[in-house]
Amino acid sequence: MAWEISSELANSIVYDPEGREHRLGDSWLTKPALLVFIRHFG
Amino acid sequence: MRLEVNSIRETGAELVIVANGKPHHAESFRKDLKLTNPIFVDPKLGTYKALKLKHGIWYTLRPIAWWHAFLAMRQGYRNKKYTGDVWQQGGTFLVMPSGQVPYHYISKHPGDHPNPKDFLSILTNIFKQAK
Repeated sequence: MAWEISSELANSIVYDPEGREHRLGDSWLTKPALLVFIRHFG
Repeated sequence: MRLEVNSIRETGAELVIVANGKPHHAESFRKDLKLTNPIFVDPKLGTYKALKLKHGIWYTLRPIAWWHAFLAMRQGYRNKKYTGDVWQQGGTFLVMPSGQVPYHYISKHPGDHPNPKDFLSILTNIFKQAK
């Protein structure tokens, strides 16, 4: 069964490398997004 | 990862990386790998928790994790540094504009990654059906 993203996740605030805030859900508004959550940088 | 960025973009989708760390860690990562796709950080791990991604000492230090670390080292990979919460594991989610998730993979330990062929074939089919 396919999952559906919760509004809690879509409304989550994440930060770009410059420290600016972004709503995560904006990432898939216009086209599919492959979200890769990585363990760590390095 | 650079190869995957191109393969994913060729299907019409975008690769979005979310990491466990601080913004300045993301900047170094982006420069080191010359990445052009969006990269975000979630220092409080709220997104990881919302997706119920694995977390804890067992997931990081279980025997199979050591085996994968050994295999990675044999292939020449070395972790230069750790950032953020070292007990946090990752995951991969293909999210459609509707919010549906036709593919997901939750990593159970370090070195447990999805096969890119799996999500690339789903993406290719999605865009074929849309034409």
